[in-house]
Amino acid sequence: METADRVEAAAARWLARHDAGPLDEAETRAFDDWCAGDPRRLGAFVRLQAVSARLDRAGALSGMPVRPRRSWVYPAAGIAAALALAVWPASYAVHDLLHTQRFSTDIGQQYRAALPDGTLVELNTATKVAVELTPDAREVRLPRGEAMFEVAHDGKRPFVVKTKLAEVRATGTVFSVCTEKGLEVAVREGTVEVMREGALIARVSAGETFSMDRDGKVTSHQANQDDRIARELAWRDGKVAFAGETLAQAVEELNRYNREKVEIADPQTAAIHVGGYFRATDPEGFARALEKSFPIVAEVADDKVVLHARPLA
Amino acid sequence: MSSGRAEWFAEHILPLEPKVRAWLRKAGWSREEVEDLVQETYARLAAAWAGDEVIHPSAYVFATVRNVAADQLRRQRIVSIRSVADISRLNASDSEPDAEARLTAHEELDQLRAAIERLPGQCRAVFVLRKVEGVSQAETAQRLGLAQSTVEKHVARGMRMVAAWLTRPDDEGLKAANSNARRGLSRGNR
Repeated sequence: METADRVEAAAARWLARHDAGPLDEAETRAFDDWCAGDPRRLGAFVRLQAVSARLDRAGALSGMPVRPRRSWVYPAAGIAAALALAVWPASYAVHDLLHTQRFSTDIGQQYRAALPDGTLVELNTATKVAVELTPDAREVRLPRGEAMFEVAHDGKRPFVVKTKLAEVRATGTVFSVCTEKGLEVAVREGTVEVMREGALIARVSAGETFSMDRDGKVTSHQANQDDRIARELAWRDGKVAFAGETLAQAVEELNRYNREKVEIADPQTAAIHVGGYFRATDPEGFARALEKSFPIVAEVADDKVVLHARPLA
Repeated sequence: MSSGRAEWFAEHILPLEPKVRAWLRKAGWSREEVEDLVQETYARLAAAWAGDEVIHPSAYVFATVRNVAADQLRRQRIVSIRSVADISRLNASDSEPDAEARLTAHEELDQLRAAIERLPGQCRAVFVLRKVEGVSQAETAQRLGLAQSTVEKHVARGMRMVAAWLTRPDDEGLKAANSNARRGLSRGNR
């Protein structure tokens, strides 16, 4: 494991980089990736950010008129002159950054976060989000994975989730956005708008699901999907749910949550239809459950589980 | 001015860090382990930060530290006798510091000035311009005749030093930084 000292050194370099001015897109990505590599990294960064903010306070405090300024001998004359300013202009370059919060999960992890505006965000497996709240906008970038949002109502500040393909706008709603296979939006309460380059593509209301393929083509928009939405959100309880999907589809879904992958050895097994709730992070348990109900044999190797058709006796 | 996450951490969490470190050391964690736990704690607090007031930051922070430490123990495959002792220690409420560490504006300013003063030559000049005068990094570089990448290195290096002085209870550096302050730094770092 990387030592805390190295983590801190890297965090300090990032802080200095942020202090120089806004990051460009590539740098933002590099920073996100760096943060995602180890939770301690963001911790070290936030800590140094706090130190930086505290130093900014020195400027603010010294400008307080209530207190007579003390004479303070500084070793270098130029520096003494700098400090002697009665009102130090406070530096807010650091502030640009303060409003961006980043969360990420690794394979098999889930995470629930409360945002300053009262919105709840739940991250599913292998997901990254960056949240930016400003006085006139609430913006969440979702470059990867799936998240569910319980948006605190604020008519003046729309809540926008940006993915590679489109934007999903809401004011006060409960919905989830998944980027695994293009874009999938499921709305549990209220209405959201799916936009691309400023144009409205669809208005998705409670009980509806909406999806686009990876090329951005709309593939479905269906109403009365409450059961499906409930199943799709089973991940919030650490489960995956199926209702007649093929085993191939089910395995693809389950594999999102695990490094230990499930593989299917033959097309006949892949075509079996499955149903039920399974623990998302237990591929072996999933395989054993299948063995009980279907003509399937599970072979457990070190880093994977292979499903075969059971040979006829 | 809106209050951001960093300000919140600067005001409520950073002042508690010396106590957190002292507490973890007392519970038997090694210096290296304390570094990991502190970073992990900040990560968790940052993730849970909701921008609002916490009525008892101290209780909140120590509850988080305790969870982080307990998780760390669970992750360790071999649970040593020391670790078992740690759990009981971490659960003992008497080892938890009481009041919030709060500095007066005077004390805080003295502390920060002392920290800046302690920085080595060029690094100090960078901090004075950047943090005290509030000029941009680019202008700081120009005024001091340094490459901007050099200024960035000074910012990175200086920030780590100041962080250490402000947060390590048993650090030589902190004592020195404190004694450099003109007067009254009696609270907050014990």
